[in-house]
Amino acid sequence: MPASQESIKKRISELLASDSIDGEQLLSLTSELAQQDDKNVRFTIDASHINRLGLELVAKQETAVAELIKNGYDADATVVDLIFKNVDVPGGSLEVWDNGNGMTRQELIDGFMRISTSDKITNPYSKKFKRKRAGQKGIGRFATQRLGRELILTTQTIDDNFALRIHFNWDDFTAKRELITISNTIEVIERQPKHGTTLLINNMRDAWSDAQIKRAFRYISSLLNPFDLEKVKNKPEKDPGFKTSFYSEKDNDLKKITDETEEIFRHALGIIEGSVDQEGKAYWSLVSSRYKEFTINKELEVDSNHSWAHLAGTKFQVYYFILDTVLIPKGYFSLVREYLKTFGGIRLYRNGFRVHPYGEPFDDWLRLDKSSALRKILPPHRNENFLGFVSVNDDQGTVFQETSSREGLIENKAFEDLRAFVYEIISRSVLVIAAHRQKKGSGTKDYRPPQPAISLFAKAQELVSKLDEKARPKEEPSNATWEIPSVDSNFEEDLRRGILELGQAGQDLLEEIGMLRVLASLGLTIGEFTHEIRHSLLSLLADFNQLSSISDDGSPESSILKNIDYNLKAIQAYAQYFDRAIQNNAQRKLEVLELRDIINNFELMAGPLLIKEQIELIKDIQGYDLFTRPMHNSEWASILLNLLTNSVKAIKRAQVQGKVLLRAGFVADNVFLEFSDNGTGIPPEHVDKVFDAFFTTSAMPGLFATDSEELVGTGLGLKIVKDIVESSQGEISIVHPPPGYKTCFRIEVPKALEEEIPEDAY
Amino acid sequence: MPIKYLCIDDDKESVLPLLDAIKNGSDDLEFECQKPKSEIRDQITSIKASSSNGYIIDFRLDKNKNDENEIVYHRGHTLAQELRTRMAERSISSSPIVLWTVDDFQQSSKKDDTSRDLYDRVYIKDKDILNNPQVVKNELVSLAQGYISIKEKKNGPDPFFSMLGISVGEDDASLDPRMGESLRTQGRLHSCHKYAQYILKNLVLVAGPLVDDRILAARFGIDKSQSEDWRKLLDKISTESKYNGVFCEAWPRWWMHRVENWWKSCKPSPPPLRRLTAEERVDIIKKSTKLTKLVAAIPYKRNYSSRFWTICQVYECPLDPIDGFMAFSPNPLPWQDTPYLSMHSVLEREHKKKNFSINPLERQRLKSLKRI
Repeated sequence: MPASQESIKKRISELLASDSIDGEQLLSLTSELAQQDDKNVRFTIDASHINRLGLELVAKQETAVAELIKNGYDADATVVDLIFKNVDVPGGSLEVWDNGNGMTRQELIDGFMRISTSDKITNPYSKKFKRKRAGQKGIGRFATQRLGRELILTTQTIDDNFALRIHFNWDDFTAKRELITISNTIEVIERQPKHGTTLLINNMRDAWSDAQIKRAFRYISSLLNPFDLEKVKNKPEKDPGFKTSFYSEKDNDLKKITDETEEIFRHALGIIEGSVDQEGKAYWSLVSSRYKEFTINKELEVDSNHSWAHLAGTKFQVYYFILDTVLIPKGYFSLVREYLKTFGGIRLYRNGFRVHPYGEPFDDWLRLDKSSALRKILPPHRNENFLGFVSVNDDQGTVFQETSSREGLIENKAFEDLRAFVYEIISRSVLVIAAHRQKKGSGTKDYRPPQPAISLFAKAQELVSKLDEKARPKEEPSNATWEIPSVDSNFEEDLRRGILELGQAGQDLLEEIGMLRVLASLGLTIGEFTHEIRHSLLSLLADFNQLSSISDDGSPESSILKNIDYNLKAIQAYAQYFDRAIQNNAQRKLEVLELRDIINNFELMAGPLLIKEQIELIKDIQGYDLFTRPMHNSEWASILLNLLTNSVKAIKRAQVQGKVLLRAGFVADNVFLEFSDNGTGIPPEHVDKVFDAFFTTSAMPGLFATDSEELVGTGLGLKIVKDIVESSQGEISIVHPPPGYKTCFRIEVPKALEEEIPEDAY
Repeated sequence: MPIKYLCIDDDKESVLPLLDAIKNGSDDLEFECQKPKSEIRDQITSIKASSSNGYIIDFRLDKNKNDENEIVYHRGHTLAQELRTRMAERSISSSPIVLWTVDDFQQSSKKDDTSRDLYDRVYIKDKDILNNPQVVKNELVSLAQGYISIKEKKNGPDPFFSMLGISVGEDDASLDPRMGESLRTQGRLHSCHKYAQYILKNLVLVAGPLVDDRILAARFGIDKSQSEDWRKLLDKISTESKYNGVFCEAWPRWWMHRVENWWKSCKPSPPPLRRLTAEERVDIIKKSTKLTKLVAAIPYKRNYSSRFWTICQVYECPLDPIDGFMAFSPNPLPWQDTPYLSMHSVLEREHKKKNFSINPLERQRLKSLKRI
């Protein structure tokens, strides 16, 4: 039985008469009174509605966290930090700190404390940086209820010299109570060191594992523009960007949760950039961190169909990836692949704001997928090979007009030019990288000598497209008489020279392939026969041993026997050497290799030869665990045997007591191996040429079994060595030899990542 | 009666000199060499007819045509398995089988080493045979004699210990009771091959209750290459502690528990060997035995301890386990000694040349050592 109207009125007037008014009681009495209105009925809100908004609307933990970060973004914060404290079991806390504008008491009451405010509709952009406000439903704050049972909100504006703090205990919001009657204490506290809002969520409902925190972080990262828009914006009130960091704190130990995006950018083959200045001149640049010393910075010429004048202020930056296990290390491959699958593509920003749907997985606004399908150029260039953005400036909104549906831009001339501008630079860049990659010879898993197809093709492509442009009728495309306009003489000259170069390069490669084929078949033959020779040699030696043990009496016969013994041992040494070299080459497994093992293995293999040639091998290895990135064991065998072959020849020429020094160690992110000998040395005029195919100074008749001069002096040995080293992203060079030596080859290859080294490597 | 081995090799002509080198004119060993038969059935018949005490089988029987000008399709393992089966069924007398090869076997056994169990020994033709034919000869003879002895004792009382030449009780009671446990129960049911395998591979070739002269020298702290009286010392302790069980002819070993008893009997009664430095051990031995030409061994590295207990598997030098890492051994038995690798060999990765790895338990220690 409800209290009578009279008694309620009486209690209200008593309440109003008292010195301090209890707001909670007043509200509850007036609403009770209002409910007894005979003529009208009103909606009321049950306090447990907060539960609906928090626990039920914000289903996932990640979404809840994202909602809180959006609040910071809307408040013009540049930094939002999240600290998860002792959350490995339920009951921990989460602190969300932003350096935004903070809220005044009025803003708190009108904004934060008011559910379903229309503020975001009436003020769609943020105060300071004019950000398009991200939170839309107005329920972000209830995400805190989803996350924990208690919230302490502290807010500090830029101007006020005090801060405000409100304490929410979500468990007070129980069913059967009027929402408006639940009070949350607000206090004025001393000025905080920095402006912004801090949400401290205590008594967390769930436990958060590191993996969950990481997942939330990844989710948030995906919502933010991964690029630094600062570079591309050019406005007075420029938005310095927005950065979120996650920390996890346990037992006072603060740990930063890392950003995988940076991890992913590291595996890009190149960064492609383009820009158009105020005069309408376009520039493009390509920086490849993968291939050192490799930057291109050029002006992009205007072509007849497109002009860049409308595009003043346009900039773009694109990371280029090729999903190839050779280019991306094992541990990261699937991460990069998944990331590119989800976020790959080139997004478009207009005046700093993302224009949808450009750059979404299904969108092909630059026609990259189409171009790939038509194989306009050969290297991979689908949308998912790129991660980047294009930013256009159009303050007046006249150049690029939005469609009436607010989804995308009208495909006018400016838009067409923008497309051409970006596509042109991207396609040129991927061709350059392809040519470079080919030179480096890192095609597939197994080592394959560089093939001419792509780089030659790329060059031909370039020439042909030039020709196309020149041949295309300029003014009237519909004109049926299609005559080739006169070609200017400079261009004709370029074309002629280009084609001649192609011809020459092709010829050289064919010769090289021919020679490699001869060497390969020779290798097979030697492999087949050395094994057979070992069998015959075996019985020969067994017989000989018996014979020599019978007569060792200083007679003339016994000295003949000694000579035979020496030579038989030499033949045995060579046979073993070949056999081991062949066995080493037969192992074709990619694995991390330790330089000590490589050197020890080489010593074992070359041992008999070194003894025979009376060459001393000296080792000087500094540091432990000199693991290389995954390579073929046989590649190192080839490298060292080739270098040794040269050394043996050079030592013979120099007529000295031969010495070979192998030094190894770490240098920055690489491991190095230096191979020095005290032979004749390389004359300075030859240093630049020794790695070229067919360069040879060899005049010695065959060192090994064959004396066919043609094969000994092919000049392919060092070329092969260089190809092998470079295919592993390494470098080989001739450096100043250590004292006492004449030649020194230095090889550097990347060292293995910790996760690549298997347990049993020790 | 000389020991007779039947050698089955498809390259008969070129292995004859090898067999001659092994025999080297001695009359306690003789060989018969056959090319393989293309049919296993014919092969078994001819093997039975040869009445041999052991078999040498080539890994690749399929490379050359046989006497009947046929191609043989099977390899050595097939034949060896057939022989083992027949021996277990007693249609062929139990005998040693050794494999010899140029090196194909090493390649294939890296991938699958289960077939190794078929053989008592594996020899590399141009390494073991060419360099040490005398050692191979001794081993072949000893293996055949060992099998003959196992066959005799297998059906007698306490077969396992009688094969080892000891009787349990008295001073041998200190042996680990787990040693040979699987063979001591239901003894008669086991094949000779199983006894031979167990004794050779778990006791004779691996240090534990039995040790070879290198470990013995290490434990005495003696540099045997520098010590003229080393042989005399060995003779002194051998009466009591030399192993005289099967295969002792080719593999001289000593019972460690008996060696320790001998040590305890030295006057005045010395502290346990392990506590003393090499110098201290040698001093005591010199005084006790009156042998003067004994030289204390020096550690491999100057800062290594000389309280030697084992040898480095890589350098074969005496080693205090404190200066080494445990080597990985795939199926160690609890009563065997742990093989060690000296720190130096592991840091310089010399152990990898001999295909050793460190025990997984040591990885952390190695890591922390590298940081110093």
